[in-house]
Amino acid sequence: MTANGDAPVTVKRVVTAGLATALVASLAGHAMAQSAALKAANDRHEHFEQLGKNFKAVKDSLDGKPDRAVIVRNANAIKTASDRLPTWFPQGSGKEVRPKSEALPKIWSDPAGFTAAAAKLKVEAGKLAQVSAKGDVSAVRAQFQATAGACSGCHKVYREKKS
Amino acid sequence: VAGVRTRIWDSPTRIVHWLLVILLGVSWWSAEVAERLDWHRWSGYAIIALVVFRIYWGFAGSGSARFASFVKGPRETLAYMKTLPDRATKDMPGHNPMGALSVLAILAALTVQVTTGLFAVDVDGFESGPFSYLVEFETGRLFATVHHWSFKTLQALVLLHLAAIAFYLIYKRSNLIGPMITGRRTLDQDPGLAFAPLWRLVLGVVIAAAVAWVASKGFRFGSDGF
Repeated sequence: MTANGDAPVTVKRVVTAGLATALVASLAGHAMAQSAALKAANDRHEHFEQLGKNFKAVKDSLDGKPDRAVIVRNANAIKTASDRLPTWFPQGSGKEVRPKSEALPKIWSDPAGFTAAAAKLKVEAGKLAQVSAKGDVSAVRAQFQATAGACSGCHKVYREKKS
Repeated sequence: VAGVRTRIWDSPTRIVHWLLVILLGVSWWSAEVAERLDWHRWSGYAIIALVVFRIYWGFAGSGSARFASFVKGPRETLAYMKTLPDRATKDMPGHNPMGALSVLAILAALTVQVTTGLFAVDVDGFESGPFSYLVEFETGRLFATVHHWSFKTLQALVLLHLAAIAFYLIYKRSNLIGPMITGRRTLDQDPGLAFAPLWRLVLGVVIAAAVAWVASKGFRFGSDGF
């Protein structure tokens, strides 16, 4: 650099600052995307736990003195959750952000199969809400099994099996 | 070697023992392999009956089955432990003091196992023990976790039990398996064991069946429609 080497230095600085900003921005962007994915994974865990509570409530009621209000309320919650379920699995929200997650990579590598499995649940959960509203205990009992079957069918393929 | 063929284990004790062996297998298989939780529950209720009966029999049964006859204090147990390296066995007409600890540990583990099973809830809320309606989902999951770990404990106790039997068979040349099948063993002299009368057996079976039945119902009898 010569006597008027100031200019290139300034250019260099500008470039360096620009690169640094871009790097920070991309890191921040990455971190934000990651924290969004982690949030999705955590929320998903909560949603599934809530589903477990809803199924338990229906089963407890069916096994004892069936309470129509309890069954309808929980069946509706199961239906609503089942409708939303496909949105609980954004790309990158698996084990890579939440090591305890049991969501298998196959969910994202086989989206067609996963979507079909989720659609099956949506149908069965819809029927569960329907028969619950009608108040036919034996129909609810049968549909409970069908709905649980739709859940398990998907779990067998897309959920990690715990020993 | 002179000796007398003596009856040491009565048939209820032997039947309970072998049914437990079978049902532990059924319970494991129905939960882990077949994933038939309905069979798993039935197997569990049967084990409840067996455990209740065995505890009853430990107080009201034949001599060799009674806790008072085979559970020893630390001094006697230690004294017996010191004789373990001797290859010549001092045959006992029933459980030796270390076997007694094994009986108590296995009965305790089984009790934890069936009790936690009654309150357990599976991860999806589809399957549950008959008393799980009394607890929240999270509590039911906690019971399931303890159920899981108590089974690991039970497996360890069974392995220890089998290792002890192998040790007696190979090192001490003493076959403990035969007597648990036939009920008879050759001893130096007849220990003059007392055997329980039939009515005590009948009473025990009735108590065991009643407890298991009530447990299977979760104290809920009959069900109405909406």
